[in-house]
Amino acid sequence: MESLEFLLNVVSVANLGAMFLGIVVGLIVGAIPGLGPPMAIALMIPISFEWPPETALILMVATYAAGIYGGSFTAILLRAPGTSASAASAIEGYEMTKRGRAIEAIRMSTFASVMGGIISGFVLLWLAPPLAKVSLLFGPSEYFVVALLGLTAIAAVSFGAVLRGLMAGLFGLFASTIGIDAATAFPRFTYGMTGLMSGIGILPAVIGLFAFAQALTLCEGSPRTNISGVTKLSWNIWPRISEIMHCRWSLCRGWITGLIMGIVPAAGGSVAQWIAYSWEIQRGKPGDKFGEGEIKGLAATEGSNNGVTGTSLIPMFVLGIPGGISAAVILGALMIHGLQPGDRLFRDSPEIIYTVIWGFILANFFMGGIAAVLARTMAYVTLFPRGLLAPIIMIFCVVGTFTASGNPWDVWIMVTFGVIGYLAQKYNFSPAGILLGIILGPIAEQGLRNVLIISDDSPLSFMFSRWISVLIIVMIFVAIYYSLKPKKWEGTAEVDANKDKS
Amino acid sequence: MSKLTAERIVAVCLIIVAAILYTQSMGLQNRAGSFPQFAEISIALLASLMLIRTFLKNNKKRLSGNVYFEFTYKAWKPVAVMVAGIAYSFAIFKLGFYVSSVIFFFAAAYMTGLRSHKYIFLTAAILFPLIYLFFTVVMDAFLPEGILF
Repeated sequence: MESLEFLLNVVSVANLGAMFLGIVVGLIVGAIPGLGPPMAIALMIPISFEWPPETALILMVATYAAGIYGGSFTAILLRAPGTSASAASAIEGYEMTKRGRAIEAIRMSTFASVMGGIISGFVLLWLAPPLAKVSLLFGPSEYFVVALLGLTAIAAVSFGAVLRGLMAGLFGLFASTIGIDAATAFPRFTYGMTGLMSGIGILPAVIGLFAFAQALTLCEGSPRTNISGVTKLSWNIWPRISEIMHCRWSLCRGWITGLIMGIVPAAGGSVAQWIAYSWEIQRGKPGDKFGEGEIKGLAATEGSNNGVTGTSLIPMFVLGIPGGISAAVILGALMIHGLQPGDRLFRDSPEIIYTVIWGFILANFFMGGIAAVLARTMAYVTLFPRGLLAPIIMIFCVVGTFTASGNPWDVWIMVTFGVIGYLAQKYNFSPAGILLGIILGPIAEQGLRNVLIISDDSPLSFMFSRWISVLIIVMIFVAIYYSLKPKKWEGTAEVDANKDKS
Repeated sequence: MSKLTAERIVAVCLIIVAAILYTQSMGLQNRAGSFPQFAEISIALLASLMLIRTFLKNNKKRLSGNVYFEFTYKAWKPVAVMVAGIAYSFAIFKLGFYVSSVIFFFAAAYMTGLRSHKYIFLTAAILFPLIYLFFTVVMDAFLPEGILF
């Protein structure tokens, strides 16, 4: 428990000030579709350049945690996820908003995210070195099977229209192959357009499929009405014990998924939330209404994406392998301040690293208070007339996408996916399935290619010789079994005549 | 048009698109085409399944009824805003971000059918200075500039 002695180091004016600045910036930047935590963290680097390393790193990790959570505000309130890690929350969260339960959704999201972040922080504090060794066990074969595990979530997010959902997922897989092939440097489906050479980014796709498409959906119906029909918002921003107890197992499943997926490099929150959501749907009980504003689904996705935050820093701090873009930016900041990641960081500079980890835990704690008030204020957008919200969302989609990359092609790709997402939603082709395909396609393809090379074209024998791959394959079969099995809750929900029952 | 016919048309279109893309991916060398081919074949197979199902008795019942096309502005409003959105995404690189955004905001708000001039102007008066303050002043982000601003 030597790490405990560094807790008091966090309690200084400079460290607490940095933490609050990080939380506020992370929440605001994270909520804007397209910007997200990596940009928020990058913005903080020049500001903190001259600061002591622990203060600067507290600023970064606080921005990271708050940025992931901030992405959920707009996902829940407008179905416009601020980050790709919040896309799954848009499904149940926005359905709750539509039914006048925005504040209820916000408070569950706050609780799940804050607790997820704190638990993840403690895992980072106490289990970083052993868990880093686990992350080293992940090789090409494991990446491939983790991607397949993620793809099983497509059946879950199709809500009865499994056949269409699978086609949407396959379309996403196909879209992920557009651009220069990483292995052969051969351009695929670019038709001579230079802008497509770099492929379809996850960010333009997620903004288009959810936010831009949502703006088009808002144009349907009366422009004077608001999203939910509610004209007054509750001030009750803290979840009741009964609400937490109702979702306790969903929260636990979300947190566990997040903690595990965090240590898998390149997977992170974008994959964890879908696995958690799919797990939740499979475990649904009679009376649950997934796809129609089920709070358990939201609790799981929100718990998982913040459960990832702490553990995703483990490979970065211990091995110097950033698990995602945010971790890579934090790694850059770490090195700017003259610190080298690895075992020596924990051995030679414990006062810095443990102070930063405690800063991360406290940032999650304080984030709850600030976020609840900020989210309550932001919830006012749900009272706006649809006719005003639609153009505002579209403008933010464009400015957010362009600011993120500075590439005009990303704006056009985002708009294209917006049109695809709108049509997909209208004709029951699951935009979430398309997004899953785009996220998992490159991981699966790269993993499969590497396995084929390493195994000399005998991938199965290679995969079955690795226990961690076998474990994940078993999980895939369990997930498929539960996907095909009639769900207890489905019989109790109203059946949509347009959905296919394959 | 009946829902059954619409479903068959969608399935056939998907098979044709998948086949076209498959032929294109056949020209890709060194296994670069294998992953896209997997996706295309799977889409074609699932679309075939979708087509076959329309001939089954149970599904015929499920797909009874007609697809109605409404040719009123109200029904086509999202499409009109979609076209405006596409034009806007190109205009920002010609007219500049701020000019085209202001034009798009007013045009799209009116296209949705909103006629509360007070609300629209008030929102614009708050929204654009905020965007300028956040993106240009605070974030120092480069936003497209055009012939005007």
